[in-house]
Amino acid sequence: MKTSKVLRSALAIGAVAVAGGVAWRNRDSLASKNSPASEREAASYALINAPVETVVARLSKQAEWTRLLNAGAGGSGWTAIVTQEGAKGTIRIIASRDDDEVAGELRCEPAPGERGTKVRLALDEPTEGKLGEKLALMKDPAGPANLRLALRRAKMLIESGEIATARRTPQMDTAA
Amino acid sequence: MKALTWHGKHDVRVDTVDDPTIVNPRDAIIRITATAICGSDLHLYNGVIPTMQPGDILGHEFMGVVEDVGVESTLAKGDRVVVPFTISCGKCFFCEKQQFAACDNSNPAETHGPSEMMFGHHAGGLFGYSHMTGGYAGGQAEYVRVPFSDVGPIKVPDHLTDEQVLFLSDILPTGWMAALNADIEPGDTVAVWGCGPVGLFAIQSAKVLGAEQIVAIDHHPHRLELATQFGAIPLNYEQVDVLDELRAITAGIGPDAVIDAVGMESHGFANFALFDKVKQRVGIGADAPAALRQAITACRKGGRISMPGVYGGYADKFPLGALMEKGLQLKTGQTNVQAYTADLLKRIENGEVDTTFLISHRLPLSEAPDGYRNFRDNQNEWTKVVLKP
Ligand SMILES: [Zn+2]
Ligand SMILES: [Zn+2]
Repeated sequence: MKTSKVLRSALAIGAVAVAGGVAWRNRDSLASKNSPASEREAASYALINAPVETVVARLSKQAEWTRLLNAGAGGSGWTAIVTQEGAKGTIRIIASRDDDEVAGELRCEPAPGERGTKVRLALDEPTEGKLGEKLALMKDPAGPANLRLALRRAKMLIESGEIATARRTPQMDTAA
Repeated sequence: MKALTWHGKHDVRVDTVDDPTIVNPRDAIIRITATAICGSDLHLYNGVIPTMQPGDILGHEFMGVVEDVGVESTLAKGDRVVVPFTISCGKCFFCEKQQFAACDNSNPAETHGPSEMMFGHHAGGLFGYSHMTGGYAGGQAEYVRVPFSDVGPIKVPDHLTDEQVLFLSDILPTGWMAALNADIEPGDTVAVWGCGPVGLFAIQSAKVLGAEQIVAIDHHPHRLELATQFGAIPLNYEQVDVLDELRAITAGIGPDAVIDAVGMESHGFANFALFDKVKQRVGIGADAPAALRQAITACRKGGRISMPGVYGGYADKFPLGALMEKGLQLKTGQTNVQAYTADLLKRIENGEVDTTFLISHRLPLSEAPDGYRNFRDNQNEWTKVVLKP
């Protein structure tokens, strides 16, 4: 599709889900960039492991966004700012990295047939240029800053209270 | 700690690795007291399961004593537990339907691209079974981290030995679910392909569930002999024509239910087996369903097929026509272990189900590599290996 128009495209993770995000990194929270990796990981997990009941409500707070977006994979350098808290779990966000900026909307709603909550992240998405390419990468299921992965992790957090990990210690990268 | 790690095809080693610790609030750390090598571990050993990484800790059948717990765990330090090989959150749509193996929240793999491409959906998390199922460290080790410890592990009473309850982790519920999936009715003849641990437990379960006749099909004399202790009629497929014998045993009707307890590395049961092997060698994701083909051909019209054997790819020469023309039903799936453990523990306690007959070898963890080799090479005698870390 070749157009300079800003298009709207959505990504959703079915059944019972929540917001996830692109592995966006918030500059203001967690440990500082200069702290050792192990400390940053530990801080990240301490945040992830907050009680689940309040997660949905807290998604409207920027710090909680960051908490979700930082789960797991190394960040992609994106910063998320919550601009507006909408009705029924709808949140407007602006994500930025370097000179790139993209707006989006997160929505949580009941999934049909009592299958939990449907979570959708929609980005106002340019299809051309440098940013268009980067967003295409984020939508690639194998991409490093993969939106589907972030949404899945958010769903895990909402449903099970934690983000599943194969790490054997908070610091360890792999199972072994 | 010491752990059995995978380094490639036919290369497993006992390495020293870091001890696991609590990561998530529902975690527990278990000190392993007994763990077993499973037939499906041989698929990893033989290098036919993709997404393994050197250093991965194997083992999905294990039990032990709780060493440490996260704040949300319902276990306590000192509890003696058996841990299901399926990792399940207990809260998602699937877990609430008791379809624990389909858990939506237990597989942390960063990409589910391959499984979504091949299967349409990603699988739940499993211990020690490749990165497609989450990359979780297994329990052939001194310690293991158990996620969602409030859902999976089942506490066992002190008067039962490790060997009586260890197989609640996989093969006993797997054999049990295989028999349940055969929908056994009074008067039924049930034929079971493969007298490995799952096949033998399926045979025992079929007996408990009231099958009139059970037929055991294999080529290892000792394994067939183990099957006869549950009253099964042994058929050695190297010595007899299995289809002819099954017709004779069932007055020409065919078995009411057939169970494929062999799976993807099935060889020698019928036509096309060599063809399958070549395709597997050249890496085009072919399963080798020789036993399944024969089972479908043997099954009576309107009969049931239960398929506990593990498959991971595509099958060639699958007798789809027989399935349709005879109106067969097929049930399969990874075991929903958590759905059966409490019932089976009771059956072990009251003596209805015995698990210890299967164990042929007991080894220290340090000799696990020998255990793998022998379990692969001497399948007749090495029916089940239990490791004691
Ligand atoms: Zn197993
Ligand atoms: Zn679940």
